Amino acid sequence: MSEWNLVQAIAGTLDAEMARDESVIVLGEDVGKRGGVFLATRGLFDRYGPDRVIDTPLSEAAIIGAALGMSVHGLRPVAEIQFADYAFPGFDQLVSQVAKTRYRSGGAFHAPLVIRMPSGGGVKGGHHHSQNPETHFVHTAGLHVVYPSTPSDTAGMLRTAIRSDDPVVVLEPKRLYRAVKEQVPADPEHAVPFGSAMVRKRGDDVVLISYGASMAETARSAEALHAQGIEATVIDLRSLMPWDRDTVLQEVARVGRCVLVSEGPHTVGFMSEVAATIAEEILDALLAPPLRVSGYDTPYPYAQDREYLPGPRRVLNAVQRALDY
Amino acid sequence: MSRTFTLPELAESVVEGEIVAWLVGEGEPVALDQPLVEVMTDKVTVEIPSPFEGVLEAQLAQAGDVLPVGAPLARWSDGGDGSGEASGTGDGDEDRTNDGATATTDEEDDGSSLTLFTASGGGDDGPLPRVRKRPAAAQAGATGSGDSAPGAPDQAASTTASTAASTAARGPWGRPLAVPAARRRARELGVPLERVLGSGPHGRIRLEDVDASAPGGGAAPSGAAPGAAASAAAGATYAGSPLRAAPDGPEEARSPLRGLRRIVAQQMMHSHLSTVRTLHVDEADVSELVALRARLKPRAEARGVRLTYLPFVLRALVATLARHPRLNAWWDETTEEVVEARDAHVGVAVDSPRGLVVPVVRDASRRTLLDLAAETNRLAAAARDGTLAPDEVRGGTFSVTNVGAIGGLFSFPIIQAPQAAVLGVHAIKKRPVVLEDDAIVARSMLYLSLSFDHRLVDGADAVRFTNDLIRLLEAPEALLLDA
Amino acid sequence: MIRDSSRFQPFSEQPIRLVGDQGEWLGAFALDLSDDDLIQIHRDLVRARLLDERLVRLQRQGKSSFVAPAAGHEGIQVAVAHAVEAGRDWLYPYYRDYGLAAAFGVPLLEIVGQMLGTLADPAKGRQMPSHPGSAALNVFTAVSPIAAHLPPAAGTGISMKMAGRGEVCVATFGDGATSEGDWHAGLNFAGAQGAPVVFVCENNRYAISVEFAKQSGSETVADKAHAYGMPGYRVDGMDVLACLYLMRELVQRARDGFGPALVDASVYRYGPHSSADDDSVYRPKEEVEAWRKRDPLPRYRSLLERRGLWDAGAEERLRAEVSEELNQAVRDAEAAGRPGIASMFDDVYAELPWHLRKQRDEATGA
Repeated sequence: MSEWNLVQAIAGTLDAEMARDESVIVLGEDVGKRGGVFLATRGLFDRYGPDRVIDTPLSEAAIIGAALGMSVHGLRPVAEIQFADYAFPGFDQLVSQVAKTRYRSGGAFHAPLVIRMPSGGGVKGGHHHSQNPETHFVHTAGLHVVYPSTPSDTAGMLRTAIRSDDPVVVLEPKRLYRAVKEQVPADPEHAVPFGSAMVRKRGDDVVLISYGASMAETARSAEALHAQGIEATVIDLRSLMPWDRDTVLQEVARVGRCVLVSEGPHTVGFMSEVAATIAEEILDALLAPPLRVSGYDTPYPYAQDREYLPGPRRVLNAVQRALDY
Repeated sequence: MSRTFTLPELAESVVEGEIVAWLVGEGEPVALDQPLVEVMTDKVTVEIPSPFEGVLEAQLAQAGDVLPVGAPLARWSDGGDGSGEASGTGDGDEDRTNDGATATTDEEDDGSSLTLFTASGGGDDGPLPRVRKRPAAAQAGATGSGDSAPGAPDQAASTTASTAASTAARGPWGRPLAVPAARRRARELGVPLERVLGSGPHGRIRLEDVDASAPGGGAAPSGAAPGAAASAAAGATYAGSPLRAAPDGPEEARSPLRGLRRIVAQQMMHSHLSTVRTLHVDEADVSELVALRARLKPRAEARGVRLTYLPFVLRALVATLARHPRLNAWWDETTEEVVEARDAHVGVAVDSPRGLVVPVVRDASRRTLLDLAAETNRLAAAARDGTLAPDEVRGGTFSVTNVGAIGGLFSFPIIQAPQAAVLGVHAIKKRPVVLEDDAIVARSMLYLSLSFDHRLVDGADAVRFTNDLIRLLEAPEALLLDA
Repeated sequence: MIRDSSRFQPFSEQPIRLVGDQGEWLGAFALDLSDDDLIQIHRDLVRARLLDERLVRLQRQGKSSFVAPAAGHEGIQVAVAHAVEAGRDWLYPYYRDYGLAAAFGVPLLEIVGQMLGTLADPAKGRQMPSHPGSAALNVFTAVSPIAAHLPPAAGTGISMKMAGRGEVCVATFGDGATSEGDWHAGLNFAGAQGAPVVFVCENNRYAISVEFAKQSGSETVADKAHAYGMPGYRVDGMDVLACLYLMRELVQRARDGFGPALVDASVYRYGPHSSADDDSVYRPKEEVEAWRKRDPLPRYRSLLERRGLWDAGAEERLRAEVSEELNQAVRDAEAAGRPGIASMFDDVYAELPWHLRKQRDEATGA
């Protein structure tokens, strides 16, 4: 076990996987000598050299597209997009090329690559350093999308992603990069499967569902509720494509009330899918409508960096509404 | 007055910094923007330029100390008299860690990993609202107790509920207001929602209100505590199938029987309104069939199958349908097309204790006589036991009803819309028949009534179809050719 | 990184030509290909042309929804196929390259199957027609978005360089592609890494209807190579031997570790941009006729005839043979049948996730 924060968990996992498998390489802007602007690739350049830790031109289309060309030729590239907000210059590569490689070739080619993207707000970055673009990727058939919230899950899901034979977008909660530390299993096989949610707390009054950076506010909401005698079940989805429908439906059916917390824009956010599925599958079990607490449908603002994010106050208000319904 | 300077967030995602060196000593004057202290973070090492001008009263951390972002770093004096604003970098960042600190109080944590996040910032979480579950009094039904605690029904709703006697509050769509789980519970218990008094906001019916209104009710089922009842009751765990079989109810017309009756009524009305129902009646001399069946019956019984006339009729029917595909068809109203089925799936009306049920003999044309007998027996039994699967009552392409066996000469059966036709098969009775030579003999006669949708089928076609069917029934050995 | 080639100069005023209009050899060096090789080149040219004509007919007969005619492009396409090593090197073609794919060894049955979307298509009818590919031959499946295959080609080149096995990647595209950001991204990355990629522009001077002068302020496509630190060559793309000698040299140069190059092969597309295009609106008839006179097929055939390697009888036999091969491919491709509904859900991921399983069951009534 190592006590790691989230970036250390990323660097440590990349190190272990590169040591294990020569075909694993890292590419992106500043990932080499600089070790990445968030230092998530720190130490790798010294250990593995410029061939396997590639400082790329400042072009997301080149990074994502080249990662594809490498992957079909036998490598397992892990590309870093400096901020998830900069995935868009490479969006066509991701949507038109990477995601459809297996499908359009009838399974003849496949693209085992990973694209890491620091994501989410609360870092005073304004709208070009704070967005949560997960819905774009979930809406693109052929991509796996995961958004872990803890060092241990990040390590385990990154490892699963690197070993996956399909392309994986790993969204990383940059607000939590250094804010959370925990013991991460040193086991070089520590892997978290996709499509499995984690029930982080159990309670009978309401189910709080979240993922990624919003897990922090969700967890604090659950603790504030606990202090007031209300017990929440807290589900960390961790993986969005595929997502763990069964765990969500079992818990929500058992409790009858749920509040869905995510920090991306409200309309057609990922939680809209979760809410619709709950309504389709277990309407009869509901004591209250599924309630979403999310970011607002505005570009991410600079000055209102914190107010934009869904926090415990809004979560608790939603819980009250669910309890009153 | 003295003011405090806190450690700013020096780069995105940085949450702490290590003091490398102080560049200004305690008690020394300091100018605005003068390098004050050198701080190393995970991402950068920087000299912090002083955001203030005055005297550095105290260094609140020493070289080598690691401070969280927002922690007090220095105290300084502006030489004023103390009326100024206290503290800070002025960007409001200090509550970032404070929030974390207050949230890290939970020692009764259940061992989950939630505490992991207590140090993190973000989110609009100023003063937190007080959250309450509904008080116990409100759980048992609307009482208008006057308790105005949050979560209790508001005054107006309570008053409405108590004065409206036995009428539930209605939503804008005219239906009683109720949470989905309460609707299900009401269905299961046979409680009309219209008679339930809702205790929720605006008189919305909640789960416990239905329990309280159930016959012999007033209490939640199985003696559970009220709070537990609500959560457990919401439940039925998710297992893919949202509805359990309805339990048996009281003798009033609120049991699931009523549901089937209603469905039958709707279907009958739909058929009546949406088809151009036309009747053609004829009779068949089935004397040979009677003899044949009498010969085969013991053999079938030896193989465990009760052999009625129905399998013979079905065999003759599917053979005839193959020659008249227009009768094995349905009317697609959405596309205005006639759709002819490839296979014959024949519905057989069964008079079950719950009402009319029409299970479907799938792929009837591919079944042997014995197979048809076994399958119709099985479906009829299942229909009477109420154990038919949903798929066993769907997908018919033609239907047969032998209700006439109970009595009567012939009937005018109703079509299972959108099918093209239904065949009424009536009682076999000996009747006097005049032969070619004017001799009058007793023969076993069978009335057939074909009820068809005249939009799809012309009268002449219906007659030809019936003629072909009768020909087969009167010379039943032909049925055996490919049985 | 620019290394002057021994035979050809980059950035030349005039496109490189080795065969004159009458089939005469113009090269300053001896034509040193074997008779068999020379004849095989002709076979591939004719096969590409007849394949193109057949695909256009199939589209007009309603058997496929689309075709991007390639007649006029055969010179450079056949040359590329003959310059690379099957089983070792990689091709990143674009949608007009089925003649290239055929000359490289992709079976006609697979190409026709792809056009018709039947089970004869190894890609299971997933893409619209005119998108060749073959995993067996390292031909990366073509995509529609223009130039989107160039960053991946650069990536494959970088991976080849790391592997150190002397593999080479050739990527082809039209002149319109040079305006896309991805074109720049791909050439720039390949240039920065010295990746063994030869970028080949099948420059027919029109992006659908927009002529090259509106496409770019550059005088030529080859000029753009300056910006990426690689040599740019202008070649007569309808002179199959000029293309072949040039390509062989650039492929070898890349194999030897001297990095990428850009080829600007001037061609003319005799047909419209696609089956949905009417080129008479934007191209004068006289222009098309003038380019017809430079048709790569007759020009090359005269070279063979001058050398006594070919005659009218041989031509007739070859055309009959290829036609029958195409007849058979069309028959077999049609007989293969259409993919079923359930196959729609395969190959989205390595394994079928629950939501696709559910959707597949709904779609198939399972």
